[in-house]
Amino acid sequence: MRRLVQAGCLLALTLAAGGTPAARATQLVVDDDGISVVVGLEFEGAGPEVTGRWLDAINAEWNQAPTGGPFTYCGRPVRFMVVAREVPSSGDLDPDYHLVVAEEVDLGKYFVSSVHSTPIPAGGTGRTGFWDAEASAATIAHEFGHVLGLPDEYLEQDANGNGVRDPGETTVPDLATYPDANESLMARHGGDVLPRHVETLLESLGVDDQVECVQDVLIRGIYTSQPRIGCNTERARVEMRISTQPAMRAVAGAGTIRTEWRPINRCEDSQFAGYRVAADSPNTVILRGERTPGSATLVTLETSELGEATLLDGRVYGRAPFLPPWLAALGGTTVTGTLGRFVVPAGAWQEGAVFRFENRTGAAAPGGDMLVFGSATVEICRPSSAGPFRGCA
Amino acid sequence: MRRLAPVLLALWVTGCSSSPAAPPPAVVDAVRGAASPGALQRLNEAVHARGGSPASVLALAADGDPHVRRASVYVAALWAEDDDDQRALEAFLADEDEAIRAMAAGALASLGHARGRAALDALRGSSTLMPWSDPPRTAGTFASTTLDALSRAGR
Repeated sequence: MRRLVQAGCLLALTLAAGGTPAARATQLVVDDDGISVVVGLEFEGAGPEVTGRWLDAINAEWNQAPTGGPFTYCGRPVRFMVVAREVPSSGDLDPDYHLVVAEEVDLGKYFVSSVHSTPIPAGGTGRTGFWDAEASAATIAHEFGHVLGLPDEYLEQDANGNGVRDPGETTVPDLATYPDANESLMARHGGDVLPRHVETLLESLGVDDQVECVQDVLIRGIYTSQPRIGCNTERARVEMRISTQPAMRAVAGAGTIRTEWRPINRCEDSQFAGYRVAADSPNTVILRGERTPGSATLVTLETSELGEATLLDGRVYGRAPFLPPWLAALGGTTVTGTLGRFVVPAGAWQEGAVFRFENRTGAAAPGGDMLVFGSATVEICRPSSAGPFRGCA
Repeated sequence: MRRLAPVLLALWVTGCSSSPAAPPPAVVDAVRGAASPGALQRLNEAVHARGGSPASVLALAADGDPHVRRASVYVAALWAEDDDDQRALEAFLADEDEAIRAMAAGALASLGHARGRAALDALRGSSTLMPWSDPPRTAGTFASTTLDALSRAGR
């Protein structure tokens, strides 16, 4: 008989001899009940009492989202389940398990629990790490994060640049990379597991290949443009529906934007005339999302305005030497450019979130300037974590 | 004075007592490689394997390198268990490095020595970062939590 302890629901499971537990060292399981991260841990020197305490610590931190229930991913519950067992008496190590050695440390003595941050080298002992049998729950939760592959989220203040922590040197949370590091268990003792930790782990395990989840989002707002040269100003209603990947962290895909340009100011002596894209003409918007360190998302909206563009009053104002070819050729042509870029911090993709972005639309003018600058304040409307788009309230 | 601790220890090791057997090569390598990548894992492997006396490991502290000194005290403090070990560690209660003082004091307090508790009490406000601590922990935090834990345990 082989005794297993499962952290996810704190059950002692028993499998018949020869039964193969569904535990690769770390494995993703997706089924109707949700998403499970199954982690095999083989303990050396940890009795039932220590093992139970460690699993309690892992369960309390990793299966407890700030909302009180389990973490979720794309609307599905995520459970971290540890399949634990003692190293067999034969001493044969199972490569499908992480091997953690329990170190009995007398109360008062200083011991640092550790986990290999890199794969165990060939010829090594195969040990993933050493944990203090009396380590705090916070330390065990942190070390479990390392077992899953999460890095530390603090920086060594390496004053002399020698690459090691010298006496007198300290650490600081890596806020540049992880703006929420002050709340993270990977940055400080007693911090929490954050949703981005769960998302990162799931994505590293290939969850996107197993979970289809596309969320529709509406971005809407008012866009005001100001020519770089001249005095025409315009206002447009921006309304765009986009599809995003789970958790809206890796935003990518195409959407549609409907712009309705309304000149709100025009001056006869402008060097360049404005142009107008016919109202209700759907314009293709290519949305590109790039994840930045710290899981913020840099969103780039590239627009290709396919509508009938016509010169105001059918002619161009301004002086010919500065007339760019694209403007001269207006009249049923396509105007392309970058509508805007904005950075969405991790966790900020939610209904009601408001972002302001600036655009660089139009073509490059002599000297490298862009012809039209504009800005917009847009609201993110997120109907739900999944399901059909319902629009902004 | 504090710099003399390793020297005094070396004298004690070599002149005032029978010379301890040299620690196993793996322990020596782990201690001397304390400033290289993967140091903590090697040190923990060495701690786990044992195979030498605390005094023999502390003799490596005479090297003078601050990382080697920290590593030797780390290993020796975890191995300490008898009067000889305590005497060897006491030499480090006056060390200039607060982290070394904390490790030595924690081990002595663990073994029931009042001097260890007193040294920990004096370190409560220390902002010196403990070596290899992950998540980071100061000597002051280590001292406070250790004293609290000992009190809770009635020791």
